[in-house]
Amino acid sequence: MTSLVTFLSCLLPTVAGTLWVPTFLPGGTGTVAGWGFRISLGAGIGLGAGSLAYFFLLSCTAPVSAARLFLFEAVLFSSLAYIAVRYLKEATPETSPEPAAKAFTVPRWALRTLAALFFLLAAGVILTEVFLTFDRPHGGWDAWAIWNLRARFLFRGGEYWRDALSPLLSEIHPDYPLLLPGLVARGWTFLGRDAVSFPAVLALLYTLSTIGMLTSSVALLRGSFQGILAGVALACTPVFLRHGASQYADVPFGYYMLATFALLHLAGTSKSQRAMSLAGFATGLACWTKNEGVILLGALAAVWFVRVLNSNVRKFEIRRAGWFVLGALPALLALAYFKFALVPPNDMISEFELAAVLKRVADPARYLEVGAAVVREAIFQLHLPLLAAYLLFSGVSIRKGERGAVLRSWASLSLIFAAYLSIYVITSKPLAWHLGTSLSRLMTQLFPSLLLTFFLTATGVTAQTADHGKGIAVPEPGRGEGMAGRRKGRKRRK
Amino acid sequence: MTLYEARYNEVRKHLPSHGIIGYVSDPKEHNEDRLAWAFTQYSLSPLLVIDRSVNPKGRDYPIVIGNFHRAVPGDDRMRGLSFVRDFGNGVFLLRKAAE
Repeated sequence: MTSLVTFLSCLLPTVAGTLWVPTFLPGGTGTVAGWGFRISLGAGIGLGAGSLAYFFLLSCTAPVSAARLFLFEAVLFSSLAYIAVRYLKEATPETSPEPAAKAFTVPRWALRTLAALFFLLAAGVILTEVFLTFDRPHGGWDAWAIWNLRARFLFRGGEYWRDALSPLLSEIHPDYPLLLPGLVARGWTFLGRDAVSFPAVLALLYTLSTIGMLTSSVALLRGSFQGILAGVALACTPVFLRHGASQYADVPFGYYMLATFALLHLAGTSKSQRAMSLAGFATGLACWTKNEGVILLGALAAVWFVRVLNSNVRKFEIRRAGWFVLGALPALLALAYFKFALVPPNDMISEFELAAVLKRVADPARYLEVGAAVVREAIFQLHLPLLAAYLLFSGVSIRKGERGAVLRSWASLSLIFAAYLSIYVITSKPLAWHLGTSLSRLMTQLFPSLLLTFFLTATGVTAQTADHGKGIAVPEPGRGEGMAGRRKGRKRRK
Repeated sequence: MTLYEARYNEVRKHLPSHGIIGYVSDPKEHNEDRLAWAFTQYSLSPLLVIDRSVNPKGRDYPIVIGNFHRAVPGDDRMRGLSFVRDFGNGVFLLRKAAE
């Protein structure tokens, strides 16, 4: 019974999200990669909407009963799904710039072998996550001391759920946003008890969805071979799997960051305003997952501002930004209410002393310590030298018309990374302890988005067909090798 | 964790369903103090469990949970507390003595 209710409580928002998402995408979702993108993105978007709905209901009418929650979600999700299906019929594919980048060609069997390896790895990921969960069913320290603890307050506390946000619990960061605890408490409300298995199922779902979204988004944008390669690279990263099973909020946050970058890239290349609003919704959910979401939002805003300054279509850019903000609004409103009306200030802000911060900023030893820790993490945990070697071998080749979008992704990621590092430089906490307890998680947040941007930068690889010889080739039209290529293929067949 | 939670099964029946209680433990090495408190907070939520040795406000609350792994300390930690019941496995229900 527990398994069935867990399954159903995840299914409702996932199905609604999967139906809802294509309305916002610029066509091209009918292929395997398209369906993969649709489902992996729809799952997270739907679950995020579920968390917001639960928080709304909790804030208005606590305690939340399963019947009331079901009724509210059924009305909300079916309305959204109805609107999505209705608009989907009316939606017309939008134009995308022609793919114009060189690509290596590999034999068809290489693609099939890689695909088989990917599915084996995906099964391995599930087994690994299950084993890690059996080893620590309550998750890692932060999972039970912060995230699941707060879910217990929300679920068990009834009308006293706000006790989770008491300043008396400053040690467990009451100011952390509520996407994950809200989702866990939502699932427990349906189950009627706080089953240990539910947060573990959510952790697995986000881990698999991140791999699925990375694979499918790269496959849509750069072809199946590159997509599967990106998925393999992520699935082969033990630190990502470990954090995935830990039930921390870092993998869900990394998921929403990846969704943001993938959607912004799609929106940028297709000039789609609907994709912009979905990117905004994903960014809003990132802010609703972790405080680092504000850094993501700040980095995107900074890059957008520079773009507007250098743009000769400023009105268009401002209108696009408006769609982005509109999408982010539901989560940002929830966050604003949470931050300004419910919780004490963040410990790093309340402990801020300018003189002490300036002293730390002027200390070169701190930069060395942070730099050394980052290099260790990059080499031994994320295996970045392998990516560097791949880039040396393949070379750089960004599609014409996508250079701006790819460069903006790199700029945003660099700003986020710089912000993370600067927090370590100024932190009042013991630096070695702070690095040891969080650096690995922060880099895991960035890693899926880094892989996406990396594979958009590296020279593409396409699988050989009867029409194509060896050597440099354009992506295959109509065979799952890029959205614009597929559309071109469809037109040609018509 | 599951076993740790089971230590509190009995005492939970004698605690309020919500609100704030104090917490006292014997001194432990390294980070174990915080770990033991965090386990207790997780096990007894939605009660707010305030460690009297970390937060002085914890001394204001009449109901106190004792979580002792080695021995009941005889130092300042126990000042002003009286034992109500021993639940075994180092778990005690205590009460702030009338001043």
